[in-house]
Formats: sequence, C-alpha cells, structure tokens
Amino acid sequence: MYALRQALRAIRKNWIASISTLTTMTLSLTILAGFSLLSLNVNLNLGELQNELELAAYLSRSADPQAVLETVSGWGEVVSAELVSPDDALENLITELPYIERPSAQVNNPLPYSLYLRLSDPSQTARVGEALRELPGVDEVEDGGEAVETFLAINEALRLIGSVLIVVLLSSALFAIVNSIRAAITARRDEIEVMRLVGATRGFIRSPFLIEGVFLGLLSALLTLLLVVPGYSFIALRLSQTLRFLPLERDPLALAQLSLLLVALALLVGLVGSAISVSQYLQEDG
Amino acid sequence: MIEFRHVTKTYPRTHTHALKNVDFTIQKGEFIYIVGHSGAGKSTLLSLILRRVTPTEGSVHILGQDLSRLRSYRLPLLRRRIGMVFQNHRLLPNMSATENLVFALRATGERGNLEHRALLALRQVALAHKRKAYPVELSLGEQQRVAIARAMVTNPPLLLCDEPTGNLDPDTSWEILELLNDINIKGTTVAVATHAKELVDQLRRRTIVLRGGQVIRDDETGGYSL
Ligand SMILES: Nc1ncnc2c1ncn2[C@@H]1O[C@H](COP(=O)(O)OP(=O)(O)O)[C@@H](O)[C@H]1O
Ligand SMILES: [Mg+2]
Repeated sequence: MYALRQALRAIRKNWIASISTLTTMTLSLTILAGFSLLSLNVNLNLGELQNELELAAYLSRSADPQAVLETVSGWGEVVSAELVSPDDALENLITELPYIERPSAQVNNPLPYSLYLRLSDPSQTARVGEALRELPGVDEVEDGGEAVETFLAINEALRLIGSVLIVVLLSSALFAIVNSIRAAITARRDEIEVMRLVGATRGFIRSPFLIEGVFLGLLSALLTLLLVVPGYSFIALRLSQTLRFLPLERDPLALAQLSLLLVALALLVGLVGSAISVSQYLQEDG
Repeated sequence: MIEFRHVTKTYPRTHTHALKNVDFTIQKGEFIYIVGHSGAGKSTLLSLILRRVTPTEGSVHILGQDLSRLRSYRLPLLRRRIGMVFQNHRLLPNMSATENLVFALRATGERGNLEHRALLALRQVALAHKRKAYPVELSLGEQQRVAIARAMVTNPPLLLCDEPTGNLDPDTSWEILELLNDINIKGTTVAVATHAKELVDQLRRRTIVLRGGQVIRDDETGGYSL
C-alpha cells in the first residue's frame, strides 16, 4: 500500500513526464488496437468467403457423374461434394429466375451435371481447380480463385505489416516507460540513498517504481479502450449502413478478448519497462 | 561487536591502497575515535563496517557476522542494526524532521505509530519542539541532531559517525559530541571518525589513529596525536 501511494505520488509529481509517457503509450496501443480490428475483420471476411466459396465443375454429357463424384470425394482437401442433376439445376435456376420457366419447357434441358465442392482451405482453390480440369469427364471449372488469391495476399501483407508495427509500437511504448521510470528514479536518488543506508530491502526500494510502470501501462490501456471502443462502434455502424453486405466483427466475446489482450499487453509493457529501468538504474551499490 | 582481521582495501579503479593490514576489535558498549588526516582511510573503514565496500584481503566481522559470508538479501538486516551519521546530514529537504524519521522507520519495515516513535527519538536529541521544521529551517547543529535521531530511531546497537562535526563551530561540535557520549552511556556502541583534535583531547576515549591506511596507534585513552 505504501509502495502504491509512493507510485501515485511520483506520477502526480512528475505529471508532465507522466502525460507524455501516457500519450506515447496510448497512441501506440491505439494504433495496435485499430490494426488488430482491421485484421480481425479481414480474417472474418476471409472466413466468410471460404464458407461461400464453392468450386463448381460442369461435367460433359459423356461423363459418368457418380464416378467423378467418387474420385473427387476422395481428395483430402474436399470437405463436401454435391452432385446436382440437370433437372435439379434447372429447377434451381427457375426458382431464381421465374421468367425462364415457360421458355425452358419448350426445349430439352441444356444444363449438364454439375458438381459443387467445398474445400477445407481456400488457398487450395486454384490447385484443386486445376486438378479438377485434368479429370476426364469434366468440361468446365469455375473456381473464383482470383478473388481468394487477392484476399490471401492482403491478409499476408497485413500480417507482415502487423508484425513490424507490433515491434515498432511496442518498443516505443517500452522506451517511454523505461524513460519515465528512469526519471522517477533520478528524482528520488536521495531518498533511495537514505533507504539503502537505513536498511530498506530491495523489494521495498524497487516496488514503487514497478508499480508506477504497471500503473502507467494500465492507465494507457484504459485510455486506449476509451478511444477505440466508441471509435470502432461508430465506424462499424457507418460501414454497416453503407456497405450492407460487408461482414463486420460484432461478436462481443471477440471484442472483449481483444480488449483484455490489449490491457494485458499494456501491463506487460509497463512491468517489463520499469523492470528494465530498475535493473539498469538502481544497481545495488553494495 | 566489530572485528577487523588483517583487512586490506585497495580501490581497484585507482589502485589506491586505502587500508593496509588493519586489525582491531571493538567491544560492545565502547566509544571509539578513528582519527587521521584526510585520506587516511577513516571513511573506508566505516564503509567496510556497513559493507558498502568489501575488503580486498582479510575479513570484517560485525555483530557476530562475517560480512564476506553475508548473503546480499540479508544486507538490509545488517544495516538496520547500524545507525549512520555523515558530515553532511543527508536529511531529505522536502520532509520535516518528523517525516525524515518516519521515512527511515518505514523504509526498515517498521509498523505502528511511527510519528510517536519519531517524536520520542527527537526528544532524545532535545528537538521535539522543532519536529515540524524542515531542514532549511534548522541550524547546522540542529540538522545534525536530527540526523543522529534518524540514525537512532530504530534503536540500533551500533552507531557510526563520519566527521559528524566537520561543518560545525567548536561549541556546537562539543554539543554533538556530548550527545554521542549520552547515546553511548545508554548502551549503544559508538564509533566516530574525526579529525577534530580539540574534541578527541577533551573527551578522552579509545582512539585508533590511521596514517596512510595503516593503524599507527590504538590507545585506550589516547587523545589526538598523529
Ligand atoms: N570510492 C573510491 N574509489 C577510489 N578511491 C577511493 C574511494 N574512496 C576513497 N578512496 C581513496 O582511498 C583513500 C582513503 O580515503 P578515505 O577512506 O575517504 O579517507 P578519509 O575518510 O580518512 O579522508 C584516499 O586516498 C581516497 O582517495
Ligand atoms: Mg572521510
């Protein structure tokens, strides 16, 4: 409790330094949070895409549909394969486009057997599509592979930028803490000297600084949430109004997890930063 | 209480031989002067007792403990049993006399009514009426008395003073010395490093004389002659 009071006193006393540390940390965490939300949504879209994406193969008239179905079902990447007969395909088409019902009754059904596949991993789409094309009895393949490819590339780029950002932002937050605690140690040099002389334990001398670091971390995490939570809600609302089809992460559990992760990260940065300062600038003089 | 066994201290960075083969014992309850010119090794000797430095050769035994075997996490416990006073009082300027003492008590992990204990200690040095004064509001002699009160507030069995009268005029110095003598009479072992000839000659006590890091004299009622 004494250590906590000391830490709070130090923050109040050096409020200008504290504010600059808080600003740096909050900014870093806000960018990180914004970026995490972006990645989260890109992943969500990718997942959605994966669910919606089907490989469609149209069989030639001469093919044996059951044989093709069996071969394809045996492939490891294929989660499900559905064979649709020409009659069913026509019926589906008529449900979607009712005005073709009458004309279609005038002619023989022109539709082939079609095969719809779902894959376990959307990045395999192009490869499986290729294999499908090679299969005897397959006339035509629609794989929508380009869209997936683009999406995957974006995701990959995001991941790369993300790693760089995490390193840069976390180290700037860390340095802010290290500096702030170093200043606090310098400001209390005389007190520390007296404490050592009268026989204060290492823990007693160090804990106020560690608490100060953790506290700064916590405070900046809370400030970040204060910025990001309403900010994201607003952006999500606007997007859902203009781009209705776009799936957005609204799951409270996922968002709570992200917030918790952010707080934990901030606490960790605070603790590690102050621990670095304390071990660098509070060397035991013996 | 204090035992130096063939202690040599060489500061490695400057290769200064601060103490050479120093060997003596101080019993519980003694009052002892450590005298010598500036640079003779007085402060180094006191620093060895506090284990702020470690001997290059030989061993130091304090309160029954061999300091070379003292684990560093136990060092604070040693320091709590030794009061220390410097020439410069080293009071914290932003704290009143009471607060300075409470700060020391708290740093040693003491609990309870610390203000009351601080007041008792200030009464011992006859400064209870200045308990709310900040260091700048006290005379040099009063500052030094508060520093002594701070060193004694935890009732340590041993009190070390490094040139406690170095900044003071003769009369005030004498008051401080009388105070240290009182503390000694009440049972605390007191070691005073000084080069104040008048004091050492006036209040005759055991005197260890250092020159160039060596003990050149160790007399029961020595007086000051180098
Ligand atoms: N931390 C140190 N590093 C290097 N040399 C030191 C250090 N402290 C003291 N000395 C040297 O050791 C010698 C004894 O110094 P000191 O113990 O301070 O003497 P005194 O207190 O009697 O004046 C001096 O020559 C001084 O320069
Ligand atoms: Mg000295």
